[in-house]
Amino acid sequence: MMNNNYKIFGLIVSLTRNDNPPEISKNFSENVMRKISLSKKPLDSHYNNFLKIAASVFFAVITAYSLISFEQSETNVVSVDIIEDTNDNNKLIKRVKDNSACVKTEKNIEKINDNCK
Amino acid sequence: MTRNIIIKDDDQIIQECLSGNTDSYKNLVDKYQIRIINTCYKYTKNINDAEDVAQEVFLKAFQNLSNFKFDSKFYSWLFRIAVNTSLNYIKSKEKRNEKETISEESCLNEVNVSNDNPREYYQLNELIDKIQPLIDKLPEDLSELIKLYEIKDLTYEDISMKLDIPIGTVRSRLHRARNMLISEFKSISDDE
Repeated sequence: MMNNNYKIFGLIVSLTRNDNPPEISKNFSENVMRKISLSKKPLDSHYNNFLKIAASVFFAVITAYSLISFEQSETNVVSVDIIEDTNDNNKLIKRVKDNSACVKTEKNIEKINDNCK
Repeated sequence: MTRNIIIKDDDQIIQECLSGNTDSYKNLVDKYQIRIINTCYKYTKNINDAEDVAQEVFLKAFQNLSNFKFDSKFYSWLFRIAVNTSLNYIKSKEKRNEKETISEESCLNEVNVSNDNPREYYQLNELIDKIQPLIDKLPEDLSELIKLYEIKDLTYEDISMKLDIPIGTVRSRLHRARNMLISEFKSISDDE
């Protein structure tokens, strides 16, 4: 329903305040409302529903894919880890044994020598 | 005689818009279009550009209506958007002008295309002399209220304190004053 009262009241106030341009187009507010309705179009219910379905399918696919790939990667990691761990442990043990043996023997010899003097 | 005219408060209209009745936003556009176009016109110096910028202002305001804080007047908020949008318009126009100056020589033979869709205008300056007597015709208490609220931009609370009357009375008297002004305006435009 057309309600010109707001237009009239706006006109009265703006002219009383001397806050008006020399002229104004007759269908300004209709143009604004048209622009607003155009800007709202992407939010229409059909489009909105389509977006919701597309988003849920997308997330379902992503979730399924990540679950499958996680399972596969987990088994691979276990087998590789075991091999690497044993290798590293062996090396560490060897190094520790070798170094400590050398240091100990040298120091021991020195100590023994000092004590003997 | 005053007919019963319904003019809602801005806050009421905004609440309606926020609850889904977007058509009621047109009431706010109708009410403030002249003042917002004039604000833009002060910056653009061209009525067509001013209306284009003002359209953007109302669109921005609509899209950000949920951010409006009800502790200030809607017009003050709208005015700030209008000033910012106009300043942005001027900046983008200056950039465009720089580019046009660079390529000016290549366009010397081009003829300016006129606007294919000319707008129809209300000539507002012709109406000014008819409006002031309408406010002068109001009872003194009502014309004072209109001046305080609509022209000096005081809030209901400010007016209530200034005149030492309850806020409810300020609201109801303003409502009556608006009704009287609108019906007076309608009667003089019917006469013509």
